[in-house]
Amino acid sequence: MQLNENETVAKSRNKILAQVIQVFSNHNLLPWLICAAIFLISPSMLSGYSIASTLSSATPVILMAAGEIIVMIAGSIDLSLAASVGFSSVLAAGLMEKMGLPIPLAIIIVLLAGALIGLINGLIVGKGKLQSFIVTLGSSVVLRGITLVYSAGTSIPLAQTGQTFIKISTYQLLGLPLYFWVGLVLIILTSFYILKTKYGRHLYALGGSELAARVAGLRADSLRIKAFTLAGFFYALSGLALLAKFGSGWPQAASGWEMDGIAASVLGGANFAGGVGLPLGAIPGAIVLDLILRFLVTLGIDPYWQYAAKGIFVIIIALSLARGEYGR
Amino acid sequence: MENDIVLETVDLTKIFPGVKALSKMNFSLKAGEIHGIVGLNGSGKTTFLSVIGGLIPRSSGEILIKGQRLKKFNLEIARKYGIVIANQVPAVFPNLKVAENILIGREQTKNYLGFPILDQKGMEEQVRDFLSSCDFQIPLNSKISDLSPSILKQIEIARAMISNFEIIGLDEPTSMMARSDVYKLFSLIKQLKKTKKAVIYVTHRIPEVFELCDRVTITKNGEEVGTFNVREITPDQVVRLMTGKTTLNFSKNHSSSQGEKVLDLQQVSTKPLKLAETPLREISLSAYKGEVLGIVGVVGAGKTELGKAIVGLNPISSGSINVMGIEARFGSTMALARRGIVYVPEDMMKEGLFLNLDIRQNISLLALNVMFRNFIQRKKEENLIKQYISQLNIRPPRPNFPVKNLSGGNKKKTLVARGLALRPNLLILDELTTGVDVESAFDLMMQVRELAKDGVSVILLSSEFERILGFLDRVLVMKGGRIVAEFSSPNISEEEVINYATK
Repeated sequence: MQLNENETVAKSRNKILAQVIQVFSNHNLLPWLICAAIFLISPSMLSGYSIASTLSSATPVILMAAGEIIVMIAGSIDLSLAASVGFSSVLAAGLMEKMGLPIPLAIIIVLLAGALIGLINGLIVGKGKLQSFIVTLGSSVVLRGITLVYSAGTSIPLAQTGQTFIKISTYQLLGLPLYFWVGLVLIILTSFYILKTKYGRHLYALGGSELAARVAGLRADSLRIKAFTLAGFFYALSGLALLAKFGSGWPQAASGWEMDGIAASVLGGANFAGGVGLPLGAIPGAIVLDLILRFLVTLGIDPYWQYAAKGIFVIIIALSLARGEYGR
Repeated sequence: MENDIVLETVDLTKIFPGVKALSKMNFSLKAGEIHGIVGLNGSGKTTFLSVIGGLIPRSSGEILIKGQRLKKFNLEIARKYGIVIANQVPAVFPNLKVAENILIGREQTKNYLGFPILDQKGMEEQVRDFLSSCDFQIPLNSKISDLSPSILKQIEIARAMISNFEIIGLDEPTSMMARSDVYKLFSLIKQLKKTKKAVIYVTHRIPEVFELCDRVTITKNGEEVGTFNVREITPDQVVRLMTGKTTLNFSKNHSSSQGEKVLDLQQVSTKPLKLAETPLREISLSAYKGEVLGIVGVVGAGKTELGKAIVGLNPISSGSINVMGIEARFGSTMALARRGIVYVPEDMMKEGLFLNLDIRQNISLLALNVMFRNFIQRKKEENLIKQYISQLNIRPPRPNFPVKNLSGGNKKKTLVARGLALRPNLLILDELTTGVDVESAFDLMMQVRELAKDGVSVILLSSEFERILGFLDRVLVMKGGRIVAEFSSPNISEEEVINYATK
């Protein structure tokens, strides 16, 4: 009987609006809506060439956001994302150029190093029972420091072994570089893993209510540690893509990209409250972020304002998500 | 050797920082038995279940399962031996579906290219089969946030029961549960008995023990006072052993003269903010100085929504609310509190207490606004706190004791003390007796009568009719957001109230 009443309530106009917002936030339609709006105002921005160039130029951000989304599903946040990307690209350049390691070995070492950084972040957050915000803020500065030490403060251009790396990784397939396709496949696999396995289900549960997760007997700490480790792996992948794109590892690479990664994550459907999102969302998230920023340029807005715009987007999206979630 | 004993504890002890929650608890459980544990809040019932379920480690003592002494005991070992616990407060994940909530931690998988993938269909089927077998009506496609507390409670119980368990611990399963659901639960528990499962039934509702249990263990201050066959003991004896008091005589001594009007509602209607809220429909009512007014109804009747609307926590869509001559508006909660119009919420954990603060900070929180301009005078605050700790009999009586370590009844008292510290003129208490043991409930109700004697107008919002009716001057019965009946003392009959509230 109570339920019937609720159903009639649901039919009132306010509720329909609330449900529309809910559907939008549940199915992550916001970025596509923005895409459509931009297309209507400025159709040339979505032409075939433009989409391809957007995808390849946004690949590092896409991969970075994919990792961040995994951490955000668990209800944490990882601020070491950009520093990890920068570190990975410099490490890769160093391994290839300074040490002359074969390319596959260098790639494996970089990916393992990224996962290790994530593991350490996760261990400190999980076992130390600390807030991920402050832990990863700290570790991001540590990583920048290590990057400067490793590179001695100068950039490492890919000249010899690295040239092969660039050649292979930027090999064009259907108009897009190989590093994009590799990233896409890994993001799809990871999304599938998170959506379809026990681990993923428990990760969503943890993000939904940590207290309930502990009471239900889920291993909150190891779930979270694994999420950070996966994220670290994706940051390393992002660093490799960045290196392939620019052909040089420099210590300030990806600096200030924290907001790009987080903005793409929330645009892509993750929520600061945790428990929602999918790594796949990083793709529309990053594309839309890129489109918005380019759109601002088309409108003739000072490029320096782009920097502020990213932060404003994050706040606006967080607000709109909170609205959908809590019905405020 | 009796070999049908499935679980035994010897001198089981659990010490939390500052409190001995469980002290040398001896307990035995047979297969096919429903074993009640009764005791006041803070007597160690929940702690006992948490230790048995492997959720928290014991401090000392022994746990034996089927006569086998277990050196190491944790959640996995408890699960391995088929011990499951349904918690008092449902542990739910708002972002997961109902079926996913029920099967959390026990997901089925199927192989896909040699990879274990969640078997979504199989799981939904399993939940559907289970729910139909136990007659729980849980809407599987609803969002968790839209479900009533009674349904959430059933989800918590279903989560425990769907596993292959041997021993199940139910912690206050009927609290927050609608009456019709309680009957379903009871018949389900009686079925478990036939399949030789062992049930630990923790409650503070003594009649339930006599309806359901074979044996009962009575706890007091974390110790076992005694274990009895239910046929060999009377409810009065149980109360005496629980409280150490002879009888609790619920009588009232109110004055019948009607004082001045404190609260006046005219045709108040609301629109719900969330799907689970009940909209108020054209509610008109008055409350008077020195009166104890009960507004009762089942869970979901709109009592909380009414209470929140009066103190400006929820907006109203039409009608008017007049409190002590001023119009109550949405958002004017603090201004109203300064005039002594106070709402004490039902949900202690989410809306009531600050679990990170101690008793002193929780009690004085709002009163500070009235008492001091900028700087807090520690001594004045301290005196205020001590007064309320002794007045409400809060245990332990230490102002700097962390609230999160208090028992349920004492948490409630702390919350009520915060309201009292504002020296209220109109005090609205939402579900004052829920989750509170007999003794604390009596303490609280006596306080309510004292307040009324001093001229305070008290409104009790409650779904536990039987526990409060005897204390009321007047009662309004709510159903589906409307007021459907009114009775005045001495013409308040429990039967009629239940009739109007449920039919």
